Amino acid sequence: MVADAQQLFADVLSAALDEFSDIRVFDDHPTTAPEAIKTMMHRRPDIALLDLWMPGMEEPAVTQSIMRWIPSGHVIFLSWYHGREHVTQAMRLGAAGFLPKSADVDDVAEAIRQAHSQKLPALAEQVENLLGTIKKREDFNRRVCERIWTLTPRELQVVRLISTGRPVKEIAHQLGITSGTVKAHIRRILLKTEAQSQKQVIAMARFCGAIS
Amino acid sequence: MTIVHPGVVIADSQKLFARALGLALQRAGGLEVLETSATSGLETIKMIAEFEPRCNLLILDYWIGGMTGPAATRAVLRFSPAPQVVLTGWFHTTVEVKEGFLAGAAAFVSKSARLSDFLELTRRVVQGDSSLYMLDGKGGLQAVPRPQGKGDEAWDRLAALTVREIEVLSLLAFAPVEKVAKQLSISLGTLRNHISNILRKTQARSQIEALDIARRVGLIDS
Repeated sequence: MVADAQQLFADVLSAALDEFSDIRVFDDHPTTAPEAIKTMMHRRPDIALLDLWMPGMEEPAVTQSIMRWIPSGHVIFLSWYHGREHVTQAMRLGAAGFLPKSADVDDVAEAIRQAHSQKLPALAEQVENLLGTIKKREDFNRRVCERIWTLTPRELQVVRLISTGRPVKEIAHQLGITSGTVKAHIRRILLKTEAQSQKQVIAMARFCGAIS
Repeated sequence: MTIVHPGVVIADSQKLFARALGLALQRAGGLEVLETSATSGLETIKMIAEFEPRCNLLILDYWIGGMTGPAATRAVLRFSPAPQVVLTGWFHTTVEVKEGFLAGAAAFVSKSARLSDFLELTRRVVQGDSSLYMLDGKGGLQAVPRPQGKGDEAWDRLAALTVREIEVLSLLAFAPVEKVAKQLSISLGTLRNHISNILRKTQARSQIEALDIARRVGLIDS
């Protein structure tokens, strides 16, 4: 069974997986958590491919309810956005595997086969690799954003104005301070963020959501 | 003249979706899938230019990385006017839909749509149906009136940029000039030429201002 909030995604993935001679996909593709659970109750798929984010419930509850209707080790989560807690939570609740939506159709088919034949260590290793990648990304984000969050509201205001390409004189006029003070702000901003240029500060600030 | 096997390029931030959709279009739609691995606006522009004139259809994710859907649509059509562009979205607003059509898209599809309706849409678009279409899970396939207006006027300031210049600008948003030159395998001098051309064309006073204009128009998107 393939269940995803996006009907078109569920339709095309099902069609692609159904082409494999050893995989048969149900023709109903639930798009909400309650629908998914109903299908699992009535049709008892061997393997369920689920998106982590489905309307109808908070996702930890989804994983708990889903696990009731299908034996442990027979749910594979497919997700676009996934933090480490989501992945570890899903695995702790008995999911067989977790694949990002950047995977290939063949990877998904292989994961289904492995889950079905209970080759769980292979899937678990894949999840470990995924967690490793996520950790690296989260560590990077934290390193970059920690520095941005040391900026004062005034300094962020300066960054916001610089990002529009306005020259120092205009910024000074807009904030009601001297050009010298603006330049001093900029020097302090560069020091605090350890950035190599104003351009880099802007990129960092935007990346961390400190400016829009 | 009916094209026997229309060529399609699929550009989506989710590779799995692009791959699976490609398979469906090939098997059930009789289309020739040229490319499904474009995951950024810039990659899409370059690939379409490469496949010209074999590309008749582009299925483009509204949230394709690096650019917004309308900006990517305008850019693609400016360099390669031939293909029909179908934008795919998810919970998109009426403003986003309008921007997409003003940018030149032939259709706007929500990912809540059913595959069977999507196949019908591609059939019509590829056969040269000049109506504009919207497709979603609730209303099905519907022809819609052409929206009035010109769209983002700020786009005009960026309209004269070449693909290379757009690429340079996208990289400059995140890296210093030395790194960008290395990444593009060009000399610092060549890069500085590109930058001065960009500033001249966009009438910007600095790299930062040029980047800001590009970002406001959706040509650069983090």
